[in-house]
Amino acid sequence: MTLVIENISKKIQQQDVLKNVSFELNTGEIVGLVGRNGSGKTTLFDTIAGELLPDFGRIGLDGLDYIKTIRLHEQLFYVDMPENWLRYYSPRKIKAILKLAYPNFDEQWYDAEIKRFGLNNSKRIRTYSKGMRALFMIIVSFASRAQYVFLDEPLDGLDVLIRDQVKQLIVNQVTSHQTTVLIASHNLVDLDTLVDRVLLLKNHTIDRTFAIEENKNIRKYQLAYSGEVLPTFLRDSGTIIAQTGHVVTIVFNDFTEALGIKLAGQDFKFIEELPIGSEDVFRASFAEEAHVWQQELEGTK
Amino acid sequence: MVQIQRSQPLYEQLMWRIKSQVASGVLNIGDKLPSVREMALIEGLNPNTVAKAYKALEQQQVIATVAGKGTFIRGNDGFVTDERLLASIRQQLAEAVIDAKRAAISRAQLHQWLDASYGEDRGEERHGHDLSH
Repeated sequence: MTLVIENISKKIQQQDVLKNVSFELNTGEIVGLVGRNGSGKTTLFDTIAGELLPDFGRIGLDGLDYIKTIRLHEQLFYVDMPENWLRYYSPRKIKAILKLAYPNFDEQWYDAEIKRFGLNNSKRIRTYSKGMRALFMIIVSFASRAQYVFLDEPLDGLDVLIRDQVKQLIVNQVTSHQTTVLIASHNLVDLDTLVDRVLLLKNHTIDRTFAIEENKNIRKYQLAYSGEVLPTFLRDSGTIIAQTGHVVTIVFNDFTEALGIKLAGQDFKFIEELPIGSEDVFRASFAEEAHVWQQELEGTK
Repeated sequence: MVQIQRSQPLYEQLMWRIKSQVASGVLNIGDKLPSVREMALIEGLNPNTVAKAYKALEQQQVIATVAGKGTFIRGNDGFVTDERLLASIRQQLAEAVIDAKRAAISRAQLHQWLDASYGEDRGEERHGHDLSH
């Protein structure tokens, strides 16, 4: 079963929000949708889920038009974040409502998970802490047993422990039910251990699709340069991850012998190769500009 | 446990970790490995990296994937059929010997080290790996 998004365009108040967005989601995939705040991630989700109607384009599931075919709607679960109707109900009430909309709703699993995480079954979701709300969102999404689950910033603002629990839940569910998950995030690195590929939303459309591939020629170095200014070839051939004074941590996505010779030259007082982390490979899979955002984001935190 | 110094690709590092766990008896024949996604989370790697490692381990017959059941540590059939693996082991040994000669390390000393790395553990339980076959 494949969900096909074909040429979706959407204007809101005469402004282009989405322009010719096309991609496909296959069974059992976890796909990241990455874009800056305001790039249209939520609008895209709303449009696919049928909460907004596209001005142009088509959403196909099983060869049928998803928006027009009501019986397919139980195959997709998505609620707007952070404001949504769930906030005003308790888990017990939500279950009763969703059982009507999702005939395969997994009541047993839902109840067990609510209990396991110590969530209060009779309190409204709005009274929950941020972490509990995040866990609840994951539980309710997968309990629907919809084939497609869309999650909007599921890791945003969570502490490390909750973040791990959320990731664990997603992975377990996808492994045991072959659910297809689309995760929107403004944070690339958050998605590293989760996603099979990443869709980059930019200028109102899918700018690029990345599969995270390990390139043998990635090298990471920490070095100190001797001159007044950073040797220009560094910026041209690598991505600078950190810099304090003359000490630079840099990743070369395509390390060559010629580079190695330059690094051994007199420009540097100190040079050490660092082990490559998954994050480095992940970052290297993205365009330079994607890295620039990341730094902007980190700078504004 | 010996640590690998060379900067290896991440998937090779994972392969090596799994192999060394098999060699040291932490993992036994028939043990189930975490799924690709679970392993990605545990090791802090991207699922594609783990998939690549699993695929290579499968080719080297260290693990086997049973559809719908999972990935398991494979029994050793007595001899390894992966010629490339054999060639690479021989190559590495040859390199080590050259370095050892330069450093004037005796043959006996090398043998002793080899025996030590092979481990007293279950050395004799394993069917003799005749590398010169």
